[in-house]
Order: sequence, then structure tokens, then C-alpha cells
Amino acid sequence: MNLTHADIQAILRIIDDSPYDELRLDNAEFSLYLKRTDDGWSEERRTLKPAVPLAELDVAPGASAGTVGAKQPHTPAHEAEPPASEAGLVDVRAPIVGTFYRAPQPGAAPFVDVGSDVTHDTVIGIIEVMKLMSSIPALATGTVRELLVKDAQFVEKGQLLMRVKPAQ
Amino acid sequence: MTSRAVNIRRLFIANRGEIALRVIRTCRWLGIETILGVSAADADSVPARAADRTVLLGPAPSAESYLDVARVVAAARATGADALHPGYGFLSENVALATACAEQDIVFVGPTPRQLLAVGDKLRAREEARLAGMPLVPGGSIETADEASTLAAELGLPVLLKAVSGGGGRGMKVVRAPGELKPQFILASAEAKAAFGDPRLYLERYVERGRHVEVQVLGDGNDVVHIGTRDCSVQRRYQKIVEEAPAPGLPPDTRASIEDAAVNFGRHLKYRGLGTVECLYDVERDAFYFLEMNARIQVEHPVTEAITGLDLVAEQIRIAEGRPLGIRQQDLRFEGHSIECRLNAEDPAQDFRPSPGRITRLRFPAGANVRVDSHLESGAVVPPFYDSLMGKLIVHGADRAAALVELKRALAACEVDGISTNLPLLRRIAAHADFARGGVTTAFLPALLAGGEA
Repeated sequence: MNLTHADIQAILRIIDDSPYDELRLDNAEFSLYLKRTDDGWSEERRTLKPAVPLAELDVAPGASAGTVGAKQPHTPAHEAEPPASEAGLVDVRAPIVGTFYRAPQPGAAPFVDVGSDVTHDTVIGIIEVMKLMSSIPALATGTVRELLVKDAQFVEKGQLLMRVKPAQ
Repeated sequence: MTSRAVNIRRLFIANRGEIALRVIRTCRWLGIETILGVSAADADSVPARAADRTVLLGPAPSAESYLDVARVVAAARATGADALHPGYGFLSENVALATACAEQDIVFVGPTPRQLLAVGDKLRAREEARLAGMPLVPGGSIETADEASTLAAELGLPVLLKAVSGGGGRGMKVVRAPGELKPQFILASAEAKAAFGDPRLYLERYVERGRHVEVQVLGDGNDVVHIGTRDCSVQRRYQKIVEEAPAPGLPPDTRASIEDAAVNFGRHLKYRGLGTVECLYDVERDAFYFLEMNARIQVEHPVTEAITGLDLVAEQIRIAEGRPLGIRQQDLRFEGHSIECRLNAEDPAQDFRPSPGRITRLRFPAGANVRVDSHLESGAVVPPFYDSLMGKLIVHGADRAAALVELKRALAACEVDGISTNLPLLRRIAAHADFARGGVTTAFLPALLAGGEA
């Protein structure tokens, strides 16, 4: 929907002197709701028309120019958690949504690997969300037995990152 | 370098969010066709629908879409664009993009690659500023934690660690105790590497009572004008939250000095395009120092538009087309006062943790003295991949007090359901007595958040 600020101002000029406090404008494509409050007018918009699927840019490696083809965007499949390889392992889960990094920077050694000993506060990775980097503590004491995410993988909140064999 | 003027007919927008929509708006007014390159996460966004044509650049992560120079240039070529607007952030000050555009005969709406190089690297920018006669904060580049310790001892604590390739505050750390220097150096270097692909750091004296005052400049490669000051001192971790124009309460001589210094810097660079010269204003000494120059449109440009009546995106396009400045310094008039608030998807109750997700309801103020620049609406999703900016509320008043009244009303009329936002914080700022007086320092917001008196 392409109503501009000027369009909204024009509508407001018409209804401002009217006795009405609300205006709702609905059609197949969008919904516009204007409301008069003690703090002046407020507006709410909602697009109703479904988006048209986009053509994906097809860039061959090393090519100076690309073409716009009709490839489907990749949709990452939701993967079920694999069963634990042994009994008694503790799950380490992502506390927040974001991109999980195993190392402090590309090419550097990972914070932890299978076989690493961790304590409650050991940093096991970084999750980046909206440009903010958060260190992720193990919150468990023991030895890392399974790694379930790759470096630079997008993880959901609560997603299983690794499993730790608790120290005796 | 100067060539005949061209007419831009089809503009590729290499950005997302509110600035993509902002550029589309001006292009529509100018009769320029817009093509927006989006990531998969933005395929259903308001800007994607608003552009004349939208193409998919790649998957959601920025590195494979908005930050991929080859993909962006290929998309601009494949869609027959004759110009490219990079917005802010992402590749907006990327020399490789500007160079690739030039090679492909695509007009880059921004300064020349040489100028991007001159101001994009903080060390180089400082040197250029020094040559142009701008005052500088004492400091220097460092490569190791030991070098940092030595320099910090010379300057005296507190000191500030900054990413050489940085911007927007990322990779910046204040160090107040000698023992903090080494761990902060390592952290800042890692963040700089992750955010900018360049771990180099810069260390300088930290001015305790400072204000962030900046000057908008516009050049055509021959002459430069300033379009007034802005104050962006209300910051949290170097992220601007509230901005205003003009910078309030500056002594008239100081204001004139900052504006003149910015123009001289622009002239020294033979600057072509829209840029911002950022200064640190030392309140106690009534002195200012060059911080950096941003060679792009800024998030906070609307406050300058509000008090001048200019369309800065249109000015950018005019300059990019190779035309001379359409503004003479003596013709510029600054009317009233404007304040902008950044509405961010973050939770002030949880240390400003980002809060992506679906907005079930979004209500913005609508009125004659309010402008809202946002790419969001009810039902839209704030994806977790990019920055947290949801939009900007910009108000204008006959003077600062009138603008503040409008700001409070605008914030009161704003409603967001479904995700957490910093709206409660924006309302606290607008209601604060110190903010109402004007001219707060960068210590204001941290003190407010710490519960102390700002």
C-alpha cells in the first residue's frame, strides 16, 4: 500500500473538523485505521494482499553480471533433535534466537569442541542477534559429548546446541 | 572527474527497512523508477511492496544478501538500473561497491571511492581532518594490548577504544581502570573483526562531559555548504536514541566555528555528496573535536529536513546526477526546532535485549507536526537478522519547547503490541527535566538508566 504522509494529512484535514473520532478504510489490499485521541490522531496500517513470490537473483561465481531467474528461495527445514548418544547427558540450549558462532572470530579456534571440559560459566559460543553479540555460557559442568549446531548457524530460542556429560 | 549531468531513470536501492522506503518516497516524487534488492527475510516487507520492482538478493543473513557486493552489483545490472542508492549501514560506505558501480557504469549515489577511502578509515579521516584544520581528540592507533596500555598511560584514564573501520558505536569501549584495558581490548578487537572484518583499534582520551554535535554538509565536488547542526547526545552504548536540530544551547560563536570547520573539511576533500561531520563538544571547555565523517545519509537526517524544508535524498540524487549544488549557503533558512526518536525492537526491562518477532498491532501518531519514517505496520515481522530500528518519530515545532510538546503527544499516541520496544524509555526521556532544559551530555541516558540523576 502506497499511501504517503501527504495522503494521510489530506484525509486528516477532511475528518479533523468532523464530529467523527475514527475512520476505517478497508479494501482487498490494505486496511487503514485513523483514530482521534487526547494526543491527536493516530494511524494503523495493515497490508492484506499476499506478497508475490520474488524471482531469485542467479549470480554465477565470478560472473560480473547476473540474471534474474525464477528459482525458489531456500526454506530451511525444521530439524528434529537427534536422540542422545548416551544416557545422562545434559542439554545446553540457546537462551536467545540468533546466529550461533563457535569461535570468537572466523578462523579462530572454537570456544569448545567435543571432549572439552566446561563449567557453569564457560563460554561455549556467541549468539548474534540484530548485531548484538552475546556470550553463551554452558550453564553445566562436565565434558562436551555432542555438538548439534554448526558455526554461523541460525538457532531458535531453546534450540539444542550441545550435550554435556556431567562431571561426577 | 566532473562530467556532463545525467538523468537517473531507474534506481537500485541496496538497503532495507525504513531508509529503503524513504528513498522510494523521494524517487516516486522525482519520477524515478525504483528497484529494491531484498533478502529472503524481507521479501514480504512494506518496502518490497512499495518499490516498482523487487528482486531477491539472497538468503536472510546480511553477509549473503545486503553485504554481498557481487550480488548487489549483479542485481543492479541485471535489472537495468542506471544508479544505486546504498542507504546507511550495510555497504553505504563500501569502497568496493562504489568502485564496482563505476566500472559497471552505474551511478553511485554517494561520494567518490577516493573520498570514501579518505573518511572510511578512522585514522586516515583524522589525518585529513588535521590537514583541514579541525581540532582532534588526543589519541592514536594501537595494534596490541601492550601498545594500548602505553598510550593509555600517556593520555590518562578514562580512554576510549574504537574500531578503525567502525561506526554506529559498535566495537567502542570506555576503559576507566588499568586492569580493564586488556580484556576490553580483546573484546573490542573481536567485535570489530566480526562487525567490520577489520580488528584494528584506535584509542583516544575520553571526554567525560561531552555532547555529540554534528554538521550536515553537502558538496558537489567544487563547493560545499553546511545544512546546520544536529545534537545526538542521547545515546546508549554509542547508539543514538534521540536526535535534534539545531543543536540546542550552543554559544553562537561555537556553532559558527563548528559549521565553518565542517565546511572547510568538506572543501579540503572536494567532497561530492551528502555527508555528516561528527564532533565531540566538550561542554566544560566550550571546545569541539572532530570525531568522524559519515559519507552517507544519516538515520537522523529528517530533523535537518524538518527545519530546512529540504529533501536530502533528492539533494543526494541531484549531486549524483552530476549537477551543481542547488542550494546557496546564504539562502538556507532554519525554522523552528525538530526532534527525532528512534523506536527500537528491544526490551529496556531486559538490558535492551533485541526483541524480534511479529508486531500484532502498530499504531503511529498522525498529524501536521509529526512525521513517522517506518517500514513496519500491523502484522509485520521484525526479523532477527538486522538492526533493531523499527522506525523514527520526527516532530517539529516553532521552538524547542513546542517541539517537545509535540514529541510527548506523538509518543503518547504510539502503540506497539507483540514485541518489546524502547517506547517506555523514549517517554521517560521526553518527560525528563534535564532533557527539557536541552543540551544534555552523552552521560544523560546512562545515568537515567542507572537510576541516578542525569
